Amino acid sequence: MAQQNRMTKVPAQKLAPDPYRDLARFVPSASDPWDERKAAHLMRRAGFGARPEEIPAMVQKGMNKCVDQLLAVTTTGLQESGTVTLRNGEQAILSRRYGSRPQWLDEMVNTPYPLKEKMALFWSDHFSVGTKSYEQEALLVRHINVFRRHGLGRFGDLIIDVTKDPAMLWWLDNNLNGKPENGKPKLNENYGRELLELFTLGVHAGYTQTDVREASKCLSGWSTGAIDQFVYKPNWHIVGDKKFLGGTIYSNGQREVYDLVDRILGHPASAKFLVTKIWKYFVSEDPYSGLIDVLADMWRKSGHDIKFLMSTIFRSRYFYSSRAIKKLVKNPYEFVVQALRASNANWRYYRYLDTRLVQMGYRLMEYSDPSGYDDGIAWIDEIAMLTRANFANDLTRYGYYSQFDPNREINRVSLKSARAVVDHYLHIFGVDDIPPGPRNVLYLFMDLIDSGYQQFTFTPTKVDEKVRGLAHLILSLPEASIN
Amino acid sequence: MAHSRRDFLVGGLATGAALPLVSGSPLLGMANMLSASGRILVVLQLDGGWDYFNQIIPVYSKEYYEARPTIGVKDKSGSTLPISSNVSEKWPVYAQPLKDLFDRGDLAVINNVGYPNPNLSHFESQARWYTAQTDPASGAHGWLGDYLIKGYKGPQTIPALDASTRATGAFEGARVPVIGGTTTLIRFETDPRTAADNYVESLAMQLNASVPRAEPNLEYTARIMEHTFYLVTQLQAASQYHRPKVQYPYDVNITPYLYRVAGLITRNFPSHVLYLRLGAFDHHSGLATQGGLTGRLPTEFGSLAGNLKAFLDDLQAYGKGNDVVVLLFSEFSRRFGENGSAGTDHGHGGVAYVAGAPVKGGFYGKYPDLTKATTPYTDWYPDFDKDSTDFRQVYATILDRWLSVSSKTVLGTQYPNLPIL
Repeated sequence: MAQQNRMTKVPAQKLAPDPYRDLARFVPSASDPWDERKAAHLMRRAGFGARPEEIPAMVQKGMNKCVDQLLAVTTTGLQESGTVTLRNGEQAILSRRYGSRPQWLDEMVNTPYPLKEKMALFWSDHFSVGTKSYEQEALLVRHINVFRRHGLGRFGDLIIDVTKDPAMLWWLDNNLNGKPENGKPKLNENYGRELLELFTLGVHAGYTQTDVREASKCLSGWSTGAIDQFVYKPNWHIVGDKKFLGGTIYSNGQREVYDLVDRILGHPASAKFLVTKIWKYFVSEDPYSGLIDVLADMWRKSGHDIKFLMSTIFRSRYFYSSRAIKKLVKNPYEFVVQALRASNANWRYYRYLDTRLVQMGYRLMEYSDPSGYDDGIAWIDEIAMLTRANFANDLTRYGYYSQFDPNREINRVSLKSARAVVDHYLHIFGVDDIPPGPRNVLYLFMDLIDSGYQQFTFTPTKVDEKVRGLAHLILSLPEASIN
Repeated sequence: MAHSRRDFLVGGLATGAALPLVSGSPLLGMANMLSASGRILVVLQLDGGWDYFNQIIPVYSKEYYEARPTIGVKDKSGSTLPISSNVSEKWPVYAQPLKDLFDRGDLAVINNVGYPNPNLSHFESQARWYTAQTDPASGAHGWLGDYLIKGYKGPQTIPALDASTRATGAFEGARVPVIGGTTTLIRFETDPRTAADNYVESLAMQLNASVPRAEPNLEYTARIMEHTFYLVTQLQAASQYHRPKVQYPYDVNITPYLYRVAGLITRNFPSHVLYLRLGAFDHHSGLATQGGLTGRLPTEFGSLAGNLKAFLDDLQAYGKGNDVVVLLFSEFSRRFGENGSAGTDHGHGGVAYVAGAPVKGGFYGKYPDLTKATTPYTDWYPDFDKDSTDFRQVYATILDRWLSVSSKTVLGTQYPNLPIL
């Protein structure tokens, strides 16, 4: 019997990818448990990382309840004008980006609704705007609020809200679409083109220049009154039936835009385009096409419900597999906010942090290109890495910007050795899977000063000196930039 | 682009076997490979709005001497120098180094440069030069920012560097490091309060980056981090240890910055666009004393000219002379008539220079017609008219003929090139 078994044994084969298995709900088992590593992974992707004390509770709660909690968001917006006092006491002037960006950053760090902020960050990159004049600065927070309110709603509604958003109307010129010249409404195709190319269908998705023009005709008259107000201008609207994607949108004034959005979402490219983008942002850079096809189909059947899509993703087996965990690159906001949360440091001066984030390459609410940022390793270059390391120093050093207290943490957990301190902080910052080489370097660092060997001791002065340096080193590891 | 770069780096490393720690990594030898085609642009932006009429003297103009009874440079031996046989204007003696460059064909003088609808504010005028637009919007890209984004296709390792203490807006839109003053360099920072272990901390950081990783994104990040150490070291060395091969007329506000730029170029630092803001040419008073030969402009402009020549000679001595073109401009020039304190107030138009061995030297553009000057001269400056040169023609020429990209792609419009390159 045994003999026969050996004879028929087949070599381990790589299973063909199965989208239904990969998208099925993750069920923990003894060999693949719901543990701290997976909980931390969920919080990094669906938010901006966990605070260390949150993780054990998440493990207790189980995956499904954690995802339920992430998906239960409020629809409140950020304050749009005036001055706001941030949680650290800093005053932020909201009519300027150096004030409005810190307001949002404070929210990312301290929010009880991390997925709401993460979706808003994703959508603000997807529907990216900048400004063309100083007067438009005040519109930027309102633009973000569209995503904070509807970022987990239905995609069709989100497109309509974005299309009406004054910042977008100004940025891609739809406020001028249909403005009469010599008594006749004159077409401006800028928004219509990007709506198809960047926001919904993608480049080379099979539509033509005629489709762009006809879509833009539907959009004519959707404009601004006062700078911060959406207004439909009937006599700017180009009247007549529109031939779009092989069908007809019948002449119907401003209602045509709703038809237009329905037609776009009915096109097979649209769900695939967006699902691919979301997957690459939240899960992994290289989803196989069969998986995207199945998920796009599920999403379409849900009525393009974004909450359904995110729920499916964050509960999937793929999401908790080695194909997803630690496979993405942190963007600057993910890097900075995760570090602030993991360290439990009190950051005292967000306006300064904003300049660091800009040096890392992210100008929030100030996209210079309608296509948003390239993700992944596009974030990694020499200046970005230098700035990440120097931010890590800002965060952990004695000084004005940040209150980081290693003695408090060391007293909270009882650690017995320098090695235990290293292991503990690697764990806090979510990089306990570094290779043995760097781990040994960190062990050595604890017992070295510039003049030679000096054994680590648990005195407050020594803890301050070495643990600040240790945290700086850990956040400067290449692993700390991986999500 | 990012992906092809990763393929290059990872592909390059795959052949390099195990990575030694700290030094001797294959990446360290890669710096020269990463540097651009060899053509370098140095921009010297002279802040404050420099005076044109005392840089290039219209010795034939009675209006000039009426407008500048005190500061006007008299046309006599020891005061002026001829430019060339077919140019009626003359150099002031303090421009001798420029004359030397001009005479050997290494200096293009671009007269009467400006833009429509002059604006007399420093800030607004600088914004025009930065954005190459005549009515720049908030958030508009800088011309060199757009060059880096839309035009430049070469290696992405710090292709440009802002070497000033005052950051320029010309790179707006692109991510370009500002290296600050001569003492506050780009560096890996450590906590000064824990100075006892700063060295081991830096060493540990570098060691940690040098260890090979398996995952592609992680390995790429680690290699970039490792390379960052190399570049920072190079930058510091270039800034602190440049050995000039010629004597510069030492000026604390100019020379150390040119040393740094020369150091970067001669050490093959990968940046090929280097930007410096220098000077304080806002001479509302004391621009010059009687006869025009002493005072703030003669001193500061003379020093600039001398340092420029030394810089180019230094690069030549290092064998880099044919690789470098220098653009000098100021946000505007000043009024025609002197004010009550021997200075001049904000005006428009003026002169730009393009210098270096690759330049086709000469006297370009049309000097302003001073018979058009209206009184009071203290209010008059040359308007932008058919005799003027649009400043974007200078940019377009540099982009098309030196940086070898389509200026139309970068600037959005094709401006006629000047025959200076």
